[in-house]
Amino acid sequence: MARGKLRLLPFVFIFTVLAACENEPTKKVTVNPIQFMADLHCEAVSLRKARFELADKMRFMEDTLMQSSTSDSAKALLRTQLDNLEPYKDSIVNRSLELSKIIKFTLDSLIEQEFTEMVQRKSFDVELAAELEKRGCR
Amino acid sequence: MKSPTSLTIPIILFLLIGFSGCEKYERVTDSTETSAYSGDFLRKFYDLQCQITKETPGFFPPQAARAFSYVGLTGYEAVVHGIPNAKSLAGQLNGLSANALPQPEVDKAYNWAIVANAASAEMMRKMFELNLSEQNLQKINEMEDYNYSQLYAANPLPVADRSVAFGRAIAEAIYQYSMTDGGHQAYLDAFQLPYILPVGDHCWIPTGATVHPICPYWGECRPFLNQNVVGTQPPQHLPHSADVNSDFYAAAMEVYNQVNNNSAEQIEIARFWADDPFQTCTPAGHTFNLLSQLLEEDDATLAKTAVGYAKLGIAENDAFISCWKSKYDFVLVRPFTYIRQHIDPNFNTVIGTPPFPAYSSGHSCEIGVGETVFTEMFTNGDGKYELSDRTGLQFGFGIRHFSSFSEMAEECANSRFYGGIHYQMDNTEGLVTGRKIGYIVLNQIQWPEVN
Repeated sequence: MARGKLRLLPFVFIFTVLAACENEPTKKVTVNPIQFMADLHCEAVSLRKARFELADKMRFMEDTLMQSSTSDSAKALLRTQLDNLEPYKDSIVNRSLELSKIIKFTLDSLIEQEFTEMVQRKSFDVELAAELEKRGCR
Repeated sequence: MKSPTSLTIPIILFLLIGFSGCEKYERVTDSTETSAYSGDFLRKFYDLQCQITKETPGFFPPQAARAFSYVGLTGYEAVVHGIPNAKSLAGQLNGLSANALPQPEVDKAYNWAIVANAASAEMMRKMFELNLSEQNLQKINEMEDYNYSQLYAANPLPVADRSVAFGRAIAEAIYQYSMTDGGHQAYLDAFQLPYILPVGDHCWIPTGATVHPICPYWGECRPFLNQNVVGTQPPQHLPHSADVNSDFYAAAMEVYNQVNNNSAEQIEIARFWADDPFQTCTPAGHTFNLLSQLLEEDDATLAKTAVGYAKLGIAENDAFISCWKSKYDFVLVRPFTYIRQHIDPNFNTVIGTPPFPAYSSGHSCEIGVGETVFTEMFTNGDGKYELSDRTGLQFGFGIRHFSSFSEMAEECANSRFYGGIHYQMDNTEGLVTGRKIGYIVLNQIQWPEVN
């Protein structure tokens, strides 16, 4: 079911763009795949940074917990803080997983249907990298 | 009214045509060869398996590699009878006797793609079995149904039914074989307790909240090829010492200096290959994703696709067994611990240290087999290939480019050093082990020529 929904995403996106331009029916609107992938990827970059930041925060807290010099009251506080981070972790992981499915599906579709030749794929890689650089998504 | 005699001839003719049609139906023995089918649908199973690995509790790197390997083995055995001059792995693998697997019926036709579809779906269900969510079970079923609807059209129903039954029988037989390897349902018991950690200055101690190391007895699992374990163990590591003039101290200092002087690119590399907190389908899954990309770029047939996943699967499974054996034979302390004890009490790594001993590196072992298998399958033997690894895009990483598979493998191995979680000896010896295992798998097993 989810897979079926994901399959439709690029088409939904394209349809949305087309619908937005329905007052100009004669104007052909095409979605630039580089721009579309860059939009998705920039969100993925933000999520990746958030995941690493959270993972680091959690392991440093766990590290402090393990140290014998940490007082019992500090340990209790840290445990509470760690527990409180769990819902945020779940949320960020779920969003990341959903987005990764969308990106994977979009990329596979582009590779298998649009950029079937290796030379086209290389060009796609270069153009995408340039667009991401321009947007500061690294 | 026609006389009975006048009707007799048309009736006999009708029956003859009918029976001859039925005979022709069942006498088809020339099943279309496996190489006539596209391998695309089989690749999609691995995409799905990657996703399920991420979402299913208990699938740490050894468990994940094992699951990928048995699905690969099953896919191969499902199609082997449709590959000219191909030999079954039954009789070639440890504990899998020559007559252990069902055989296709003589003088009956099969659609090998339908066989592979049914077998792969069934084996995936069995590999995740008790921890498989309803949602993911449904995804496997939907993929199987969708593929079947695309594949069966050209076949008479008996051929399609027979193919499905044969695929499921293959999966069941290989599942029975898997149950005795020591890793059966290991996703339910990742820590394999009770395990008593050896104690000593050189010994691993917990580096984070996970106080028990993962899979301490994994090295005792049955490998597909014994030589992959007994013939690939690394030499004794540098002797542990706290002496500032010792080689061991120097190895730890090398990690310390690296972490403190990493470039932005090296930090990116460490994180890219770390296979990301909470996110990926483990290092073995990353390498399977790369194989899928290479097969797609190669427009691979079902034959080549099935052979590729089987080669990589067998090698990956044994790489984790061999590597885990050395990890728990040596039980070597991680740089994180040693550096804090002897160099800098405030030292921190770039990425989290995994909860198991250092020597040798699992990433290096597993990418070593990937390098060897890819080199054999996609190059003329020199390993040169313009690879753009796009597998990280979905996780917010850029595309990484390599001009050879050895460059790819070495970057992966070095990433553990940049991350501060392995000494360089862990990585160099891990790569050696992985490459040896890849070589053994490619040469000790009789594989069909599918290029």
